[in-house]
Amino acid sequence: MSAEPSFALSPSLGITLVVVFGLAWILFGWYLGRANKTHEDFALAGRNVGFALAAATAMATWVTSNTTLVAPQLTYQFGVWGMVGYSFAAFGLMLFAPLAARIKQLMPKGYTSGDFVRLRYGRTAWWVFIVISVVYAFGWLVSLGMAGGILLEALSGLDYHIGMTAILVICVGYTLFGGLRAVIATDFIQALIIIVGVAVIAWFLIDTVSLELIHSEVSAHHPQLLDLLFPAAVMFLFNNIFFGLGEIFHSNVWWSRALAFKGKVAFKAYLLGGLLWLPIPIVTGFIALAAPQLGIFPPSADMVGPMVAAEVLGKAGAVVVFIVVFSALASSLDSLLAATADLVTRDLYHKNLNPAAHDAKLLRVNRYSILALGVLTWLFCLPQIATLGALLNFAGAFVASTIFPIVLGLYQRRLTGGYAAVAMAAGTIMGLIGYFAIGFYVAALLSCLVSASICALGLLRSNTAFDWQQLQEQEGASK
Amino acid sequence: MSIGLTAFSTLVVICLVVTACAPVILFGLWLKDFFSKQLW
Repeated sequence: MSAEPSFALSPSLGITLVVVFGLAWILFGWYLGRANKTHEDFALAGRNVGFALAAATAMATWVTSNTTLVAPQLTYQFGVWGMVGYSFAAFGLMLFAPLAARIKQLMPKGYTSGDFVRLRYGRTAWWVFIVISVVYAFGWLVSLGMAGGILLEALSGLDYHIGMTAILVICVGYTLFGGLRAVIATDFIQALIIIVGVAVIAWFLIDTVSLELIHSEVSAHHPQLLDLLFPAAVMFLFNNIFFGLGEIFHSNVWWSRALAFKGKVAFKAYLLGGLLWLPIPIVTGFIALAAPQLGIFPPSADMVGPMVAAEVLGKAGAVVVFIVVFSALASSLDSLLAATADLVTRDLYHKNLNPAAHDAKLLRVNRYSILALGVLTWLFCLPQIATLGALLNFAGAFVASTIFPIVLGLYQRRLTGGYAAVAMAAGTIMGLIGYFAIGFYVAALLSCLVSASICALGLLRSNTAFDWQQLQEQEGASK
Repeated sequence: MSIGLTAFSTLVVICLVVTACAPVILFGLWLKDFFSKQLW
């Protein structure tokens, strides 16, 4: 294979796979959605999700374009540290486990991460938090939509816009019908598909090319990819840990799940989800190191994973890659649509615009929000503005600033809203300066350091003690 | 300092084995929840 790619699937097979999977997910979403009677059922699956589905949804949601397209891309660029660094994002899930239990304990009737920030820190910090959440959610949504387009284009030669539109229509469709219940149930099936598919691809690659050949080829021609002291890669490693923590700790994707899991399931579900996720970026990432051996030089670095798999495994492999990546994208896109629509419905509409809204109205607004988010994402995806990695890491500057305000907010009574707001705003600004002045691999690191320093100052100077009871908000006219 | 063949192979193979076990674990948990009516 050369710089001029030949496509592993025909356009008609690509479209057929999309239609078959799309219809299956949408019908399944509709079937599950019949059990939703209230807004709480729709947004939080009745707060009754068991351990198996909880662990699978935690793992599957975290397996996304990050792990299936960007992990190979980063391995291609940063070598061994690219894949190992990506796998360290699993610590975000594992460290969120105790936080999830604490969230469930402090706010058993809460709905969103925005609820917590508003009640714990007040309006100013809430606004800063909402801006960060929206930027992150859109960055991730757009990166997922783009990944759908890139995938179809890489494997079947179909126009980018068709793949991107298809994955958005499918995910909006079943999330709209089934709410979080459909999202979690499809995540379970998608998790099984992803793991089996990834393992099969890796096994065939090792069987065909062998780890010895991959290692010797990279050692001879690209030794920096095996260098454990590759400076940018080491920075990336630490940056990615803080990026992952920030993504998970602040995002309503994970908070809404913590609130939806039954009883004491949240802690063990996030822990198991993280442990199962940990090896996946290495399994998906190492295949990129086979690219030079196979003479593959992708036109865009984020296509390297699918192109290597398709080259080694032929048409069957391309079908497997297609299904795995499509499942990975869908399992995250649906979660993000549902969680962001919850933020819009609960934080913006219910708590700001219409506090007297009744349950049926909230359910309707939630569905409209999902639809509107889908349309907006589609519009942002139309121009293919950046590579997936660049787009994703830009968000690192934002989310890493929330780590300490969230953790301290959950466990420490003394941090006040003023310091939390300044910590998030200043951390984001410094992260962005680092992103543009130094590189994407320091954005989250700088953002987190600045935010942590301001939070430490806030703790030292504070003489107040937050009353945890204030998190138990009374729901007035919503029923 | 570069990662050697042994370390590289060990890392990849261990991760592959753990990944391959994951579907069995998840499906086993699903069966347990299903039969004890704890799925939802």
